[in-house]
Amino acid sequence: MQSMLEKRQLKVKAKTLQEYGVVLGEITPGHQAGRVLSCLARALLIFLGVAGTLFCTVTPFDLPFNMPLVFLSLAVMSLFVSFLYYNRITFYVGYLLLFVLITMTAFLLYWYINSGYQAFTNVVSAAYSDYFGLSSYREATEHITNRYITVTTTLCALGFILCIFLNIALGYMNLVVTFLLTFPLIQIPLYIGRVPNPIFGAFLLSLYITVGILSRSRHFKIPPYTQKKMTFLHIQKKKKMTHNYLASGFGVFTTTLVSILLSIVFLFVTNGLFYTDLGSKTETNIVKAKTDEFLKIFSQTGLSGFFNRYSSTGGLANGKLGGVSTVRPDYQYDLSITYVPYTYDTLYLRSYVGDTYAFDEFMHTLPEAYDASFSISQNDRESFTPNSSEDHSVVTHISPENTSDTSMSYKPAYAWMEIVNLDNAISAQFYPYDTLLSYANTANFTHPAKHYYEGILPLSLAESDALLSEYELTPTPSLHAIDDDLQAQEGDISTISFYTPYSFDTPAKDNLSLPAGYEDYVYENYLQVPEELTEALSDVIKEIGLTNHTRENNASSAREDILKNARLLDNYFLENFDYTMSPGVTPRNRDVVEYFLTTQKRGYCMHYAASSAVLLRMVGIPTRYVEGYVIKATDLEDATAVADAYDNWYFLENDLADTGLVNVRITDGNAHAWTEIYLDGHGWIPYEFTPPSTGDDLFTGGFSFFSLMSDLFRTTDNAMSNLTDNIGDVSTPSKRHQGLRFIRSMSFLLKPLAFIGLFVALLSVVLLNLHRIKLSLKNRQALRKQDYSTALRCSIMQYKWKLSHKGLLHNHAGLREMMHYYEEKLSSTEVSEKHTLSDSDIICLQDISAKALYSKNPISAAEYDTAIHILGNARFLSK
Amino acid sequence: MQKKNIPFIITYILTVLFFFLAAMFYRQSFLAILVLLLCVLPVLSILFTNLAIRKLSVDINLETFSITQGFPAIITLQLHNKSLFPLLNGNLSFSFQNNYYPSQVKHTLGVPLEPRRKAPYKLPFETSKAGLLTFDFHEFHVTDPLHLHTFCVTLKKHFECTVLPPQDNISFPVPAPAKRESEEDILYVPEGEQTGDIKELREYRPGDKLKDVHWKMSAKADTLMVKEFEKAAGHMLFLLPILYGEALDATLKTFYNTCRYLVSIREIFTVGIFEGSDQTFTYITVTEEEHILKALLALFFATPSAGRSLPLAALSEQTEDASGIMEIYGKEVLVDGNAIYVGKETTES
Repeated sequence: MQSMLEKRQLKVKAKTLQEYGVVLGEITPGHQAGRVLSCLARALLIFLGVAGTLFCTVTPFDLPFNMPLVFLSLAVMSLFVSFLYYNRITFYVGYLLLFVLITMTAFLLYWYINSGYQAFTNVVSAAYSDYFGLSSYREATEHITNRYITVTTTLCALGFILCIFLNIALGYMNLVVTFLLTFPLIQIPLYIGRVPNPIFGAFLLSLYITVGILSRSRHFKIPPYTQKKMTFLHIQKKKKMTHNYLASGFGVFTTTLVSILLSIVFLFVTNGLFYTDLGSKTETNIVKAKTDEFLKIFSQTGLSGFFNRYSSTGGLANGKLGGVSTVRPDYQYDLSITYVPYTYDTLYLRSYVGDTYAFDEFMHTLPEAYDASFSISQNDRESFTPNSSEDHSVVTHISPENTSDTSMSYKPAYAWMEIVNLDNAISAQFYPYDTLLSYANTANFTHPAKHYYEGILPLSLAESDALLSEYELTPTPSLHAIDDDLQAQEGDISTISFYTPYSFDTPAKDNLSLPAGYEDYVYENYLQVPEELTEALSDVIKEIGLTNHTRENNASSAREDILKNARLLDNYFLENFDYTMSPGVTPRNRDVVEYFLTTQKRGYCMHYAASSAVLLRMVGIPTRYVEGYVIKATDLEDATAVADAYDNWYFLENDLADTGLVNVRITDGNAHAWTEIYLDGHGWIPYEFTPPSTGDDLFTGGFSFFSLMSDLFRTTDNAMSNLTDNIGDVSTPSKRHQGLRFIRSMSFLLKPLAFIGLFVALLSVVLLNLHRIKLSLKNRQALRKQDYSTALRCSIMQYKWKLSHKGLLHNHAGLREMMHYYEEKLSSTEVSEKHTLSDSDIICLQDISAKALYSKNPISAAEYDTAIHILGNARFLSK
Repeated sequence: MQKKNIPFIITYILTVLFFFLAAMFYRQSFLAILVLLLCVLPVLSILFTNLAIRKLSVDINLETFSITQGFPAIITLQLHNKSLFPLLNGNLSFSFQNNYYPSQVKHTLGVPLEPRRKAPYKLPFETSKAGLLTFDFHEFHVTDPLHLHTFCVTLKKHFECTVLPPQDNISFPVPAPAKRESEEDILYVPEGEQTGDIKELREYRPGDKLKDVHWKMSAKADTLMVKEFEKAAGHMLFLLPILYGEALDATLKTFYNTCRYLVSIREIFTVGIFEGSDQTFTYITVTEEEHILKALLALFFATPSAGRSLPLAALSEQTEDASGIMEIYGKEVLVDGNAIYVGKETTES
């Protein structure tokens, strides 16, 4: 059967024959280019490309794998794919086999390949993290931990895929595609200055050289399988017809070998350059800096880190929800907290409060809360400052039991917490639960304390200024609100004099300090839910089993009802949802809460806090969305001990026997979101709905294409193993100085360029003049031996070379043509040179030359001199 | 002759610049090596190609100078790269045509020149129409592997090959030629012109041609006996092939086979070859096979007529009596407008 191309060519041929009476038939080369040789040549190229790419990428990292096995499998695969186009049978059977192999590999070896891939990416992430000085990096779970097997399997699988793609690219000899398939992978180690074995580099270089040379030669194509006998491709374009020889397996081979040789020699010559670590972090520039940023994100969070709609450093989002694909904490220290730990429970420091949910955001819209009617004497207040040596025996230990006596006005008990703001990006104040801000002081001014924080802090403070805030312990929740006008700056220090966290084990009591009408205010303003969500989430509420809450006169039973709903919701999340820092962005046309509850079912604290706030509101329970920081027990393990004695910092009995004054530095990784629930008659309590992270959030519930793909990219958690000291920015010199230094640093290219340029120039000169040099040496040798015939022959050849070099004579011209050239010039009127060959000169030279060239009898010395004299008199005549 | 390929040079420079900038910004040793390699490669590429060109030999030969229609004219091309460097971008530019059907198409044969290897190629030119084939091999270009520079080797070889019409045995009653009396008549044949008819056998006289010797009779007579031919009676057959239009090919075939037939029956005739460009005639007398080829060749060089009746009209002006002239047009042989022979339908080859 003929292919379409063959039929088309035959048609054109018949038409030409009919029209012009003659046509060029099928050209027969003297020796047929074997298809086997062409396929083998291509297999060699594929092997060079795949082996070079994979080994250049993997060997710089210390990953264990079976190199001989990978080499062998790459060789076999290269042969297999290159012979796919040998003929029709190999084409169909081969591709069928390919499909079966790929499918089988995917099913049988998926977890090996996945683990191998994750092993590689984990190692690369760690390497990049070291290079950039990051304190965390992306780390994924390797289901199979035997890296020797998994990495070997992955390399073989990846090599297989790469062989297929390279085979296609080499079928068209497309240099750009070949380059794009191979070069980005080897950038992985090269970018961070990890240099692979030069031999593998030579593989790649030789591939690029060969493909670059062959891409324009048109002689590399293996004829399609239907055109076994066709060795020429005939193409007609208007009045031009080209007949290209299709396959030159020998030519491809020789070109490949020449390229390999050239690459190895080249690498040998530039050996010093190749091993030189040119990468220097101090020699940076804007392009590299931008690329570095990109790579930092990738190494920290993987691909999903690029899908954030807005930047998320992992800190406070101030109510903005849903646009984060992956939380990316920078793990820089945000707060430095000095206090006396008294419990291992998590300490919540509240900052942002969102009261109104709309458009994927929990906004703070409501005005400040009520004042409470507390008063503290100025004397009491002033006596309680840090490091004061005054006796605080006036302090009464306040315990929850004491508060049952409603008639007693208790004396406040104080503790101090100094919070230093280290991150200028934070513009908020942080308050522990159940405290009152009673005193705030700066080095520059003092101001009377307010019972409730109402945003009295000045807008700007110098870094060294200490803002002292005194908080009074209250037995019941106090009413906190946040003022948006607060602008705490970096370095601000707020010292909280008293605090206590809400304990979930402590039953809620009636809060006598609640102002009249406050509860009505809460029920009026903290049940807002967007209308479009009520219908969408009603099924969820039914599924959870939440019951509608109504206000009752009995606050205690009301509280029970509220807490029961909260526990139902909490359990629902625990059983059906997963925790992850990389949940993926919410689609733009979906509401964050609705998408999380109905589709996504995985997320981090923001999702749980916002969803629970909305769901509870829907059943009539007032809630608020809160953001802030938490101090966990694990943070205390890394705390720095400041002093053993802490009398000036803590005035209550401490349940912890072994405690003291400590300093804890927390990062944006400690940023957190939670829900506040209003308990009737008691007040606002924080409630934690976020399930604990299991460290393994891979979806193993079933198989889906999404999970297959996402498993390759999903991170489990941020591997925050050890907080390292923050690496400060390298001090940047002035721009002009930077520029000059950068230009000077490019000298690394000048020396090798000069060396190679000189080498090539010498080589060119020698090679171009080699013929002349040989003739000259032969001439001298002949004269020494008095062989004037040979000497004259050499002289004539040299003279001919001069003429042809000047373009005055054809390369292959003989003596006769040379004489003819002079005859023509003599008869021309354009001759202007004085010394030219006369007729007699020409005849004489011809005679002597003929004798020298063809006669058995040698010419004499006199004849030689005459001929040389004549040649010497001749001048190059211009065209 | 050498030619620089400006677009490729620009592309190459841009590529080097790209990698140079990449090396400058990212300071990678591999990139730096690529830059160096890219700087070195053009020089090496052009240098080695130049050296290889000097040792290149190109031989072109036409196997046969005359073929029959339907058979190919074969040209052998022998390329020999004596260097160690492969030349993968060799292009031979040539053109060919049948002079009756001029073609403006220029052909390029792209062949690789592997190192130290002879590369023979046979170029068969299939024919379907009679005529004169001309082949011109202009030059051989070799471009360096990076396509930056093209070297040209001038060849300027010209070949000609006649394509004879296919042979066909025909026969028809030959009309008697008209007698011309006037010497000014271009068709006038003076008496004394030797014909092919043997008048008598006589003894050899010095000066007789050896080919006229009747060897059989000489053996019998034991002396050399020479054939004496009849002299022309002042009249001769006149053939006028009309090369016009689509019947050209059929005309050639009919003409050729008519000539062969007439020679086979020992008729002497004159062929009038009409030159369409200036409407003049060339006359060739045919007495043997050799003359047929001569007439054909002259016919191949003639420009076809602009009109069907032009040749006869032009001849009529130059003769008193145009009767008896055998016109050959297409597959017909006509005398005074009457077809005395009609050939079979020809099938396209």
